[in-house]
Amino acid sequence: MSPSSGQQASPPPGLKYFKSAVEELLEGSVYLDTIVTSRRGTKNVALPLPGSSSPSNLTGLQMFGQARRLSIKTTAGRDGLQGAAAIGSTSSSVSLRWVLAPDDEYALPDKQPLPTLFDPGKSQRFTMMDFALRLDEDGRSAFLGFGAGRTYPTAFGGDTRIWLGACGKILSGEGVFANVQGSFALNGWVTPPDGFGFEMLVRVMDPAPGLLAGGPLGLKSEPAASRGAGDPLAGSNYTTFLGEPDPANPIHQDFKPDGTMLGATVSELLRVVRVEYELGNGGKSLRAHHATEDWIAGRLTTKIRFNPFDPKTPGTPESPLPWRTEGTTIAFFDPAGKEIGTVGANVDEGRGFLTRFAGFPAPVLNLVGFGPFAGGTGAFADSRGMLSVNAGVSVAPATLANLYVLRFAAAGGK
Amino acid sequence: MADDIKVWQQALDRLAYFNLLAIPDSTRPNEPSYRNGRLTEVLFRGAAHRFDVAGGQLDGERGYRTSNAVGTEAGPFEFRWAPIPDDFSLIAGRAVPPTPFDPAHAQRIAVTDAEFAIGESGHDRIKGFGTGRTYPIIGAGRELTRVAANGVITAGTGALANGAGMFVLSGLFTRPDDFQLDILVMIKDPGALYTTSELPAIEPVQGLPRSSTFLSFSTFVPTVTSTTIVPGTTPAGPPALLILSDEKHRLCATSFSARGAQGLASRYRIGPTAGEHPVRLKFSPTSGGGTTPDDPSASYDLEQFQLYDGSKHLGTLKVEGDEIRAILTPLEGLPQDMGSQMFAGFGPVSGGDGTFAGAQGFQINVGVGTFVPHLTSILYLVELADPTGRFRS
Repeated sequence: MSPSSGQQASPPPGLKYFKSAVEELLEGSVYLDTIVTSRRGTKNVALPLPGSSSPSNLTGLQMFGQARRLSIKTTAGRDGLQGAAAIGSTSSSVSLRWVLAPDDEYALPDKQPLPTLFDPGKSQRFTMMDFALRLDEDGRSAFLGFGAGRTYPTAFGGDTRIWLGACGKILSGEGVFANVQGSFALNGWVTPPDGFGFEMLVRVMDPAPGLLAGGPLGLKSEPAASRGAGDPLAGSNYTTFLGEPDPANPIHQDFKPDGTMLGATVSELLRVVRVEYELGNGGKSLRAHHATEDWIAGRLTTKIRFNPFDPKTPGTPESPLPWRTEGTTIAFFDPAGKEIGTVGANVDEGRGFLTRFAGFPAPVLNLVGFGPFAGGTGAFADSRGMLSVNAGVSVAPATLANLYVLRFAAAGGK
Repeated sequence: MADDIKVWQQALDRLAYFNLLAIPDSTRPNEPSYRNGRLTEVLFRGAAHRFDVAGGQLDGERGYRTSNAVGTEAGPFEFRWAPIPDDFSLIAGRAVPPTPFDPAHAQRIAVTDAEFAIGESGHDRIKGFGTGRTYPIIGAGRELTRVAANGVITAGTGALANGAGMFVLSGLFTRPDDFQLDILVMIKDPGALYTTSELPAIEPVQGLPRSSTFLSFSTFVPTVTSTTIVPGTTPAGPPALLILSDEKHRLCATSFSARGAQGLASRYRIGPTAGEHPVRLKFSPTSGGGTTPDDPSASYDLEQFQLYDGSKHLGTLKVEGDEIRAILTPLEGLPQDMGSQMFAGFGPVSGGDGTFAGAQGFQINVGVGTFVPHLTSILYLVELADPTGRFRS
């Protein structure tokens, strides 16, 4: 029998597992938040069109970045949200081949997209090939990944930049990333050939035992003003939130009349979250910690559009589950519970990956995605920016734990 | 068996290659054909120049370097280029259904009535036909497309009168009549076309805009245990579904000239082993049996060229084989029951690491091999975008 509209997909009969168990698994994710900028002393390599004698025919970049630990302490006031950033050392590095792609490209790890020329005036899709994050200088803890994203040429407050949003999947790893299931989302900007800066949030869904630390790790926040020239966060105000189910508005799964799943209508409560990690023991071990605050900083309402039961997109690295959102609004509140404004921001492009936990029968989805802000009210009436999310979603039972990064563009680069 | 493989490999390596850079000739421009205002065919015409690719030099510090030279020695060429439906089987002499060119999407193409004169006398020619595909350049307007195709030689004249082999071509085409194509012709069992003697020095063409560097590699299979063949079936019944092979590759150089005393001659020099060449090849579900040029077997694959200087890993170049065409054919010096065949293929470069970090380009390949045991000798020419001379010596 096909499920009717609003009916939740049932777990297989005879299996005993509970919502609290799924939530515990999702809560066990490890998050690594970093800010990635141009690597000192190593320039990007422009990828011109092979065979073309015109150097302006750019099809991509081989990017070399340095990654610093990033930990955001988000606060709310009358003027909106503020992210106080603590930035760590630069012993980590990122490299990737950033390759422009046609809008209808089915991005695959080993498939070179059709040659596509970079157009700074147009929003374009791109793939991230040969993506590598090396946490330590020796590369003992590293992963290889693949993903896709989109550029968003933006003029705001006298500052013209090409924003980018992207998301990808960990394909293989070593050291602390050996045999893990995880993904990453990027939120930032690029100015070919050499300029770029993006926040990258990595989520490991099934960390090895011992990777979670018991308390704060001590990366200290510092106000943006104190970082001076060369501030990797200049022009951006990053804030981080952990979304959890809203008890007053349970997840409502949506189906077409023929029983095909359309997605879900979701209301989430957002708590301010602070993410920290630290590599220890000569790069062989990782301690990670994330802590939420008690106050509900926001309520996100959205319609997720995806079909986790479509056999054509089973959520493998080669066939990720496509997803997006419609009608997303986030209402923000100060610690006293007073609404300070709303932001609209749909996920333009998302990729979902099936995640399996040892000893747990039901699959969990790791959904990563991004999208630009689409208007706001109150304190956010003039806000521009980008949302990225690294979500853990269970369809049956229906629950979630979603980590959101909102990058508010600061006018005039301030 | 090891001695046999050595002897068989020597037989496989005896090939004549003619690498040509085809550019327009203002006295013989292309002839486009239109139907209902849409481009359906182009008769490509121009001059095919001697195009030498030197053997690569490995250097732990500088990675891989090589040199290319386009010579004044040139002959005329032409072929008909036409988009075709995805499911169209091209048979020699069969008319191609008019299909509008779609510059925004990849399309299959037919290459028919191909005739390449090699050398400036114009007497030494091959004829042939084949198929390939377009790779639209998105964002370049409606004019710029990469074209790539492979085909079989059906006839020859002059020194190539008895030449049997294949060809492959690739390059950028700005319709209707601007292009720069690399055409690589292979003659199996080359006889007097194969030389180990010095060729007349190349006289470089001046002022030819080039922003790519071509790298050359020659494959071989070191042992009979290097290959795993996973049996399967396809509608056409080729003998295998999946071939996983730990091949190796060698540095090599290719050159030719018809200006020497011996007439048209090719010098194909194979150098030392330079690294691993893992291949993962799948037969296409629509593959033919590979018994005749009209019914080639078709496959596609992912390959790597891992490059070493001694024990130092210099880098890995990843390439895709989008269309690989093979035809069973006897080869001198090889037992008939080995399933000898000739191949030609093409596909994009899909990145790399080390000295090949950020590599962007396109590869063409043509060569020969056997099915059981699995042996190969295939020349790969990899065109890499190189505006700064990173790969040039």
